[in-house]
Amino acid sequence: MIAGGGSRPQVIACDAQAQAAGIRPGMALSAAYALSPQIRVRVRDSVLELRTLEANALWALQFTSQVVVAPPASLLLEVGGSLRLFGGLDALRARIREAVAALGFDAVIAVAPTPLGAQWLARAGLDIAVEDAAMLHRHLGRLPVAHLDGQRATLESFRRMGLRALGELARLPRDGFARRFGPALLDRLDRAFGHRPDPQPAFTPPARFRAGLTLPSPVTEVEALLFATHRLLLQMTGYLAARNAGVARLKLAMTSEDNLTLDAIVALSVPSRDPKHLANLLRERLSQTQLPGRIESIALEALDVSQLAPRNFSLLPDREQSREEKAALVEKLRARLGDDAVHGVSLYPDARPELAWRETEPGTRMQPAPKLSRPAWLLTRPRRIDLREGAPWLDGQLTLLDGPERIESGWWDGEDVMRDYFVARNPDGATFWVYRERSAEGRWFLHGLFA
Amino acid sequence: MSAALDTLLQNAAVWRGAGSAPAAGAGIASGFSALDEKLGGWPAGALVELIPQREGIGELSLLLPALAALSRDERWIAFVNPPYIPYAPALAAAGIDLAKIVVVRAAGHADALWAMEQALRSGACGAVLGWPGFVTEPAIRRLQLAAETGHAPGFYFTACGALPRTSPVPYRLRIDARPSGLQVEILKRRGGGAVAPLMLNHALAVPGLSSPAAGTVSAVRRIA
Repeated sequence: MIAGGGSRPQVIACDAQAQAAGIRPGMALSAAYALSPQIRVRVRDSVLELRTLEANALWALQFTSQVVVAPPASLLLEVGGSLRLFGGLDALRARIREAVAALGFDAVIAVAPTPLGAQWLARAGLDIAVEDAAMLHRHLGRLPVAHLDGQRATLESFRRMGLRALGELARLPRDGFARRFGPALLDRLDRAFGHRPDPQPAFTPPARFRAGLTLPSPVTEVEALLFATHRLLLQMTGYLAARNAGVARLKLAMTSEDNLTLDAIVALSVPSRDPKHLANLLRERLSQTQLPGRIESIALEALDVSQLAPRNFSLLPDREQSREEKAALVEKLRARLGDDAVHGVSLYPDARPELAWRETEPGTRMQPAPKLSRPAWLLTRPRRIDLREGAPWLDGQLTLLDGPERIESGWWDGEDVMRDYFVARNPDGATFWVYRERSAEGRWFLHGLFA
Repeated sequence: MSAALDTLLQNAAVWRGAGSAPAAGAGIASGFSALDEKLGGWPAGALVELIPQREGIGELSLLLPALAALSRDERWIAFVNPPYIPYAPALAAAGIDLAKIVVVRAAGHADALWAMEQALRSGACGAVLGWPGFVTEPAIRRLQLAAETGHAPGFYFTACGALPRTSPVPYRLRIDARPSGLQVEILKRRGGGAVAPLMLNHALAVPGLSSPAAGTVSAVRRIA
């Protein structure tokens, strides 16, 4: 149940339970309390309403580039230019209806030749498609006069003149109408009926997508959180579709009841606007995260947005698809295991064995290097080898098969290395890469395995 | 043979009894003719358990020629939880295109198995190598299904001790070092029963070093 603010708060909406208690929209809050003292009241947040409407405007950009935000609860879409792309009016309406339902909103979708006409029809609850002027006159004409102007004084004069429907207003002499009610109202009526052009200020989407919502009740479960995120993802993918773009990095910011925040960031190697794929990546990321208590609000932000390559122009479709599959696998693994948990390897021109390779982004291409006798496994840190009777010992006495290969390097950066490397084998047949320090002590180390 | 039967036999899930030839077709050449003869190459959509007698005896060198060939394809070659750093200079020397290598470090056993399964299933990997520690029967079945789906060979390495006598994995190979080279014992394979252990040239593990079997033992030097 929601109550409007002001000195005399009113009930704006109420649930079925409240209705059963006799509470109706329009009733004073005090009267509602009198009927049922245990009602829960939530104050209407018009700022949040507008923000939600604007987020939905971003979403609507996937259907047309001309979207108008018409507060408190309408969006105007100029669809004349989109009909061919979407396969006709019926197909487009069905598409929008489906997408609205997926967002989790109820909507009345009215189509009319004029913006005001469509808006009034929708507000009157008429879910129809009006395609010509005659039909527009018929339907608009039956709407109550309150649509034209909700001012109490104007409505009172309409009532006194016995005017109830817009059609009756439209039939009045024009100069008389203008004199009595002012030219602004006549102008408005003309724009609704299509006698005058009605250019609309198009909604300019922000350079960056960010949308948030407050959860109806705080959640602690990842699945519940993802369910709530779904709407934001759809809004974002609509916004991205309008720009033929995909998101390369996105952030889900979560705020708990205790005002603790947590950001989950997902990075993609190939930008995407597939809500399912994005939801899966968020799920993997969140399944590895401890939520900071009961989450009360969430916000989704597209941090990096870039153009999607047009798929159908690819000369090598198989290769393109394989590239996407490869990127998708890396993303999926990273989403759950962390970005650092997945890497590629490449060579690096440094004589010191531990520095002769680098972790890289998977798929990084490097110049080939000279072939050396090197073990397939390298130890992260060389391990000290014991000596028995003066000889290096690893589960048995080592036999040196090859060496020494002298490696001296790094005096310039303080990580200097002076070593003699050998290929050595123990009695079990395991083959090792070992070195002896070229120092007085001459300590032996294990550095790799010829696995 | 009827077409229906042919189709049935193509199905990787169908076990053909001993005595029949190794499953034809889709195998990936291992680079060892003796092994290819008995296995028909590494299986393209199946799981292979490799059981080295101990670490560092050449267990990875057994796969390097196949990995080198696979890396010329577009797909990834994934190393999941390798026990050491897969050393780029050695992999490059073995002819592997490093741009195809993906190393995955999963923190726990469950995540390692999950990563292997995702990699196998994705269709984005030409081969998946995993060191998950231990693998339970249900996990083996999941990985096997994932390998079939992604049409990739999945290799996992297990330690020699405490081996279960039976396992649903379709291929099991025990690897041991011998003075004359690498001994590979096929404990289990599709399309055939047990065979006598194979001896493979060991030289591959140490590039640039000729095999001891080829008479270079005299070059071996003992440290006094």
